[in-house]
Amino acid sequence: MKVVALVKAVPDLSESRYSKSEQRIQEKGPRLMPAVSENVLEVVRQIREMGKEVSAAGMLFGNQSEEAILRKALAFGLDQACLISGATDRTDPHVKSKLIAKAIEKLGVPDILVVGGASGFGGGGQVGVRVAELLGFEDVWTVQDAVSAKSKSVLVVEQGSNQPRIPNVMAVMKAGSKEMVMFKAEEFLTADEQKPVALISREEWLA
Amino acid sequence: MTEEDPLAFMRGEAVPAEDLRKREAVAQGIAVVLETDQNGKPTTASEELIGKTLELNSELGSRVTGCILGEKGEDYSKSFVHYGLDKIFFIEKPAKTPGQEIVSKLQSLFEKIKPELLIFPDTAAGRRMAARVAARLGTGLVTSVESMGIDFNDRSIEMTHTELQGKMRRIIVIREARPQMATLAAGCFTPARLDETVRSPVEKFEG
Repeated sequence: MKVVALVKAVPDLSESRYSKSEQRIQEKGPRLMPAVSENVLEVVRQIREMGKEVSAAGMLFGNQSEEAILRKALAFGLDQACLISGATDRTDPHVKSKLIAKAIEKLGVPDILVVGGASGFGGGGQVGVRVAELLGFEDVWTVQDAVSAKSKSVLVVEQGSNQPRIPNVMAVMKAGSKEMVMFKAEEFLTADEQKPVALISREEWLA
Repeated sequence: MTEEDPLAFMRGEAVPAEDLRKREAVAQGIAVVLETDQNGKPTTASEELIGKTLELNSELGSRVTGCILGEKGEDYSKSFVHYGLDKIFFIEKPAKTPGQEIVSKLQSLFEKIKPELLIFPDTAAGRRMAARVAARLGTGLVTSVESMGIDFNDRSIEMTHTELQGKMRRIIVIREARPQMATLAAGCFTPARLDETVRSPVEKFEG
C-alpha cells in the first residue's frame, strides 16, 4: 500500500516583518513545518500500524532551502520525500495543487493521500483537497476507512486532531540518509500555466 | 431572455478555458450554494450568504441563482423561495452519494449557468466542496471571506480574510479566471429577510 502525505511550510512569524509602504509581509528566515503537518505525519504512522505493508512519501512545494522540513518529515517515519521548487507564486493554491498533482503522478499515484486542513496561513487547507480532486480521490473520514477503501482515498487531517509522536534521535539520524527526490516546477507546467489566478492585492498587519 | 427560459442569456457557445476574454464575456450573475439545517430549513449562515449575494448583485446588476443539495432537495428548496433569488436549482443527493458524483453535477450546473461569482458556505463540508469545484473549473478560491468589495474596472471582487490567528488581513482578487470563488465566513454579513411577496422559480438539475 502506497501513501503520500502533503507537508506544508509556513513563514516564521517571529522573524517576519510587515512593510507598510509595500503593504506586504516580508518573510525573513527559513519557513517552518506547521503543527497541522505533524498531525498529518502522525496519521501516516497510524496507517502503517494498521498492519499493512506501507511505503510512505512526503511531498512539499517550496524553496530548496525547505529541504530541512522534509528531513524532519522523514524522521517521522516516511520512506521518501519529494521537493518541488520553482519561481511560482507560492500563495496561489490553483497553481500549487496542479504542480503537486503532476509530481504525484510522476512518482506513482498512491492508494491513500493524507493532507492537512487549514494551517492558519494561506488558502484555508484547499491545496490538499484540490490535489485529491485532480487525482480523482474520494473523501474518507477515518484511518480505518482509508485502509479498507476499495478506491483511492484522501484523508483531510485537521490541526490538533491527534497527538503526534515526536521522533527520537535515532529516527532523526536515519532521516539524513533517506531518499529525497527533487523536481522543478517547469518540468510539469509552462511559465504560462504557472501564472496565479488569485492575486494578493495587499496585506494589513493587525497585531 | 424569455419567461420560459430565464437563464437563456447566460448560455453561450462553449468557451475554451484559455480564452479568458471570451469566457468573461459570458460569465454573468452570482451563484450561491446554500445549506440547510437537519430539518431542511435555511441556516443563519445561508441567510447571510443570500444577504451578501443580493447586496453585491444590486451593484453588479445581474442575477442570483441559489443551489440546494440534499436528499430532499425539492422540499429544502421550498424554504428558500421567499428571499428574492432569481432562480433556485436543486440537486437530489441521496445519502452516501460519492463526493465525486456531486462535484460532477455542480461542475455541470456551473458550466451551464456560467456565474462570474460563485459562493459557498464556510463550513468544513462547504470548504471541501468548494475546493473540489475550484479544481475542476480551474479557477481561484478564497476561503473564510469576511468582507467583499467590487472593483468596477473589471467587475472583480476584492475579498478580505484574516490569517495568522487574526494578526493579518489579506485582500485577494481573482482577475485571471472566472468564476471567482469564495466561501463566506459565518457571522460577518447581514442575513437576508424573508419576503412573502416574492417567489423564486425552482428547477431540478439532473446534471
